[in-house]
Amino acid sequence: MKYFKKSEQEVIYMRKIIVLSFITLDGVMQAPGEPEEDPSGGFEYGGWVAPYFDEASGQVMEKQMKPADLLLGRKTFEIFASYWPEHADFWPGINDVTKYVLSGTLTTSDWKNSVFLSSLADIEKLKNSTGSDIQVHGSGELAQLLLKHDLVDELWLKIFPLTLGKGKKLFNYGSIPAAFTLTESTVTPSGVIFANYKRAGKVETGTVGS
Amino acid sequence: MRKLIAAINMTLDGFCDHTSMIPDDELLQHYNELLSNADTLLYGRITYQLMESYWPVIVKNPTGNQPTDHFAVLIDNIPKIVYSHTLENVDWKNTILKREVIKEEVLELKQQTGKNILAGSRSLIVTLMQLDLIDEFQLCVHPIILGNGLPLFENIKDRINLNLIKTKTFGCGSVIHYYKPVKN
Repeated sequence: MKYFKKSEQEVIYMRKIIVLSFITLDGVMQAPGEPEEDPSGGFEYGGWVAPYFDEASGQVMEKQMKPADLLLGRKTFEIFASYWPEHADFWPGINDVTKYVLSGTLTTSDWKNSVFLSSLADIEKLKNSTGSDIQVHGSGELAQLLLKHDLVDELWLKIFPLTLGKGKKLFNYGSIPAAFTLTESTVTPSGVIFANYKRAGKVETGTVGS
Repeated sequence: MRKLIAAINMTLDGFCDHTSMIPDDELLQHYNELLSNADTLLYGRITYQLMESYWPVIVKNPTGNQPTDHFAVLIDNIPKIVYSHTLENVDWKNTILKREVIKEEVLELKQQTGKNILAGSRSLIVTLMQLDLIDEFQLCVHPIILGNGLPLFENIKDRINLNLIKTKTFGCGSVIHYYKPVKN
């Protein structure tokens, strides 16, 4: 939960926005789960996380996928909506949490508890409402929009030991300069680094050794 | 629709006893503000009788302590509803007596225009909770472990999830937790 001090006496609590992403060493986040997930742009490496999945990864993933409301981009939402309603056994609560979707075109869905947002202002309003923390999964363009407007409170990255050279990236030149603090990390036997970061103010510079 | 706020003092171990948690000036000032932003106060019989035996006297014979005297005037003037099966009549001004909490009646009250509605009695709060009528909790937790007494959250059957929206800390060590129930 995120809070700010209104005065010495009063503290106001808000919902955190947490971006969760699988990324390669060169920052690619496209289609981690399977070949058909998102082959756009001629991407040939869909499913690149599969060889690294082991029991240790499963345990951390299970912890991260506890029920929380989701904020998704339109494309990720469509992928999720075609898969998860029938596979909720693997993601308990996924049908019951609220799925907030940022889209300029989509306004309805058959997937229950889907709510459509049309602007950044809607997301800011959501952040100031009450409720669970909000998780962003996949949703490359949305994640970049949130990073650009400093709306990301935490980054939960799963860093896989490979480079791909092409594909959609989590960070592009739209990110703002921002510092983060590592809050939790796990390294699995297959070499995956789970690293959780939270936002920590401005970037500071200096000269090493002085 | 206006808010129904459950505002009550409790000990760290969850008991309510109006006589064991005497508010200091800072807390009184907070409650004065809360009362000023409300125009209906809901009580059960026991809290009502306790308040009714104390505050009208202060209105007539002010203590000289400004926050205390101001509280006395506010609580004296605010419209009050007392729920009791046994009281025959109520003497305190601006007070009406009702036999039982009826959900539709409270909903209608909430739909009227006006300021907030406050509920300040232990068992009444639980009754209102079970009827899903409370919009916000303001639980003032005092730094006291009482060991025994009447627990606030008694006879709760189903788990209730709350979202913390704010805290307010007082010099005496009391902290008010502002919660909103998670609506299903």
